[in-house]
Amino acid sequence: MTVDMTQQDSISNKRKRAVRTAWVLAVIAALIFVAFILSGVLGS
Amino acid sequence: MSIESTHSHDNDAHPAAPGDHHDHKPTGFFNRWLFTTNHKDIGTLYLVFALIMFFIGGGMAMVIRAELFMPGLQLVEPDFFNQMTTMHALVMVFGAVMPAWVGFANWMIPLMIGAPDMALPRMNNWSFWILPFAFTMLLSTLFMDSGGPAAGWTLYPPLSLQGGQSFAFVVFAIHMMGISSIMGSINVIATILNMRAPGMTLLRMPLFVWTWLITAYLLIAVMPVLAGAVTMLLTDHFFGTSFFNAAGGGDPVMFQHIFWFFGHPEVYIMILPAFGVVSEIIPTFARKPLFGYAAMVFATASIAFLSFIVWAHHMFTVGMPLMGELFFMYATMLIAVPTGVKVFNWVSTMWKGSMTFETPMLFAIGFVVLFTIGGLSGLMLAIASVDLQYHDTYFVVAHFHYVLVPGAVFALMAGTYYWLPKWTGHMYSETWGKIHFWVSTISVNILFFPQHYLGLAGMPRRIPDYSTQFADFNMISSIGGFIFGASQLIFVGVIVHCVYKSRKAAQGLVWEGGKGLEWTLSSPPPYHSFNTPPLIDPTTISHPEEAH
Amino acid sequence: MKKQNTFIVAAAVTAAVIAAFWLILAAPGYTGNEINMTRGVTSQSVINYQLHMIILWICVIIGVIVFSAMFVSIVLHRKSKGHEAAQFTHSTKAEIVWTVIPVLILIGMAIPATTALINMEVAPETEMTIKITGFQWRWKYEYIEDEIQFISSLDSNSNAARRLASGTDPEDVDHYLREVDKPLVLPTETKIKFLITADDVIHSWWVPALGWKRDAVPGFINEAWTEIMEPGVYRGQCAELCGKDHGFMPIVLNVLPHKEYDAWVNEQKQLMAHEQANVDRLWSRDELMELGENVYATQCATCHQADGLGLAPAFPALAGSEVSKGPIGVNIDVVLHGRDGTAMQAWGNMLSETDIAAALTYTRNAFGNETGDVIQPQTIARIKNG
Repeated sequence: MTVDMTQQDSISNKRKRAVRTAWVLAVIAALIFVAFILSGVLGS
Repeated sequence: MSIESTHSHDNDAHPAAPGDHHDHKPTGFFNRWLFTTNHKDIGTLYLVFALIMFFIGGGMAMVIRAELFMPGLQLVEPDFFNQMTTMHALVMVFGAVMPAWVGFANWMIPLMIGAPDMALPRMNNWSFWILPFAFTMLLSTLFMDSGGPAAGWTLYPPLSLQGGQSFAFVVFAIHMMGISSIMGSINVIATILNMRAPGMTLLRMPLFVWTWLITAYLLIAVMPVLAGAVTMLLTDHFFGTSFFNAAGGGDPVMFQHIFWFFGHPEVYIMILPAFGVVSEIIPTFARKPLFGYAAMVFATASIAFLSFIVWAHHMFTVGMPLMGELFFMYATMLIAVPTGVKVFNWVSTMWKGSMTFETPMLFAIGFVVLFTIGGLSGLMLAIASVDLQYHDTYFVVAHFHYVLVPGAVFALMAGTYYWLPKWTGHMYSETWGKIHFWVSTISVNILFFPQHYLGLAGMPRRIPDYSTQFADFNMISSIGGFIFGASQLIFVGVIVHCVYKSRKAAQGLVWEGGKGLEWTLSSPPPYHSFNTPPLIDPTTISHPEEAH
Repeated sequence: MKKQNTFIVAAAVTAAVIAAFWLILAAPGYTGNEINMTRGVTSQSVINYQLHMIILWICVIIGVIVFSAMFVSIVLHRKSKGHEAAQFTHSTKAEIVWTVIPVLILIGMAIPATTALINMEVAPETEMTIKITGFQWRWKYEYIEDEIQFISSLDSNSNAARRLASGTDPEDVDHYLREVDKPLVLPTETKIKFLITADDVIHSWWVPALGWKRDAVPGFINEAWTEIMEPGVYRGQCAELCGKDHGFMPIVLNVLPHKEYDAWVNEQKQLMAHEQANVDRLWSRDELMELGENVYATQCATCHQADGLGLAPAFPALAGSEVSKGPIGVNIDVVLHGRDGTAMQAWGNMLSETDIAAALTYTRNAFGNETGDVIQPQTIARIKNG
């Protein structure tokens, strides 16, 4: 097995996992935004 | 679309053979810069943008200091003065310091963890290119009939709601900056968590990477809060809601709570990466490993956690219940502990080292000393009872400028001098770097130290004119300000010289004591680096052992 | 001189400059601009001053220790001196020490800080109440028990001198920006409750000599208290950004001994009765013109000039002006509420109904305007009170 191939493979796997991390974080950010607007709506 | 897809092919899927150091830089100005997905190019874009904003915000500071040079109004009307103080803060916070740190993150994080690029290169491009539009929009309000925002960067209602139509532009610009920051942070976290080279465990990461990881979490937690707050201002102003309008049943104090829930973590967002950079520089020039690596990581995380429970110390005068004031006072005082741990660890890193004092080290030492002064005045401000005197005076202005200018900005300069040879492949002029340091350090103290006196003697912030009893120190402060402003031209001169004129080539290992993956690459590093993950060699990284 | 020596000299000079600044802070003989917090004249201000000094010195001592250690290291542990780098990397003992000691210091600071805050916030039984309302950009004071109320704004000398390029040197103005037309008069040695609110945007009421500031928030009423120990004049100003004239809404306290204060209260009551009688009765045109000329000279002529020709471009002429010769209602509205974006202030809150009626009658008949209008104080009162 060549070092080169496995490394290349693992980088594309890494990128796939990174995209998943990114979506989770984006959803959290969106939820925080909505939560604070709601706190304003309910608070007033 | 076609350009972007072919381009991403170039970055993402190009099978790099070992030792493949062809640059593959895209040709043509627009291809190279507008459509770039390369972390190094995007890092450069962020840094250049931040430097431009630093001078625009600095120009506004010069207007402010010129008007305050002596009592009486000589240059500008009070309303324009208020626009200057507001814009100065917005531009410096969101346009200079934050993008500069994102620039450092882009350049250095992949190099430091052995990743080929950021995890999400196309989003990276988008994060940056939103910013010039956001700031064009923000700055354009200065030329509109109703003028720029003049209610302070804190945008407290009801005052901020008295602004004219241009307020919508301000809110939209802040939304865009927030989206840019959130995307940048998502990218940083996704990169650090997923793209590290094998063997680069979390507790082997350089401290700069650690501080940025924590900073990115802070950003994701609080930028949406700011977005929520300004959205409610927007609907109050234009759509007849009354979130914050007392006359309509709203609560103007609630805005302050929401704003500072964002605002206090925000100040740590600006300073944590500074801690990281200084923690890289001091060991390099002390030729000695960072003292207490694990304690430094833990202290950074503690500061980040505490930043969420201290926000109301910005609001001791609004009339809170006694119990609330006591809680926020104690929590705020507690921040001194992890911050102290950091300072003590830096001093211990220097202790019994073998130090040399090149420009990055000078700025790092300047940072430790002057940031500590700002930290100590912060401790004074935490005392709620006395804060009823300090609050909203020049004492506060002196405090936060000490932590932001010779704090965050000095760390940015230290980091620039430290990595500039790595980025460009040339050495900068050490003589001019040192001149820049000394002129900046002396003038920044002439600029901000007397402001402590002004505040204690009773001068409030954000006033365009003042009673004659404040004349002496305002004049001294303004003189310091003009020198400090002018001395930053040296900085630009050194950078331009280094990039275009310097003939002295930089080695891969620029600094004798440098440790870390970035120094294993050539200077400048190849356009695509670490396409093959590096082998982690304990002698070349800064924290080879798993820390205890 | 060797490079490293240059560094030490430069660092020492910088350190000396900073140290000198701090020392001036402690020197009692310094006679220039004030550089430290005032001791003030209330128990709260004295406690805050003492607490401030204690914390300041703790901070100075911590700073000196940390910076000394660093400076010793910078001097001794240099490569140019051939110092070899030690390779120690951590010490759990050291981390514990410099976590625990700061915690103890903080606890030591928190105890007096807590007592001071409780003293500040928990009001004793008070003997009189003043309601303070912040407006853009003046303060309104109401003596709840004595039913006295008035507006306090920047005095006319400062107000003229503070205009952009006014040509007046602020040094020539007494208490530039720190003088008002009507100070808040208070008695000594009386526990006073303040009810603080605002009408438009957030302001903050701050007199350093009292030892605190409190935000004036529209829709909310904040409480604070004081007991002033010494008679005297104490000055402060608005401390929360409240718009373009935020820097121009000073606060002046005139604190009098009990007897003099009582006399002042009686005088105010008589003045108010007199003022009410003035508003209620019908005035002749000559009376109004005579008083109006006076009011115009003291209040209006600074901008509109004695001859009514104004000063282009900022201050329009009244002679032949569309407003002064136009519909009375518009004219009254401009004088009562001011004009946004211009130097024209809302006089309705500052001058009495009688003075406004007189000034209007005067400006509508002087400078060749000759409208023949006579405006009664009653009319102004009716419009003002809606």
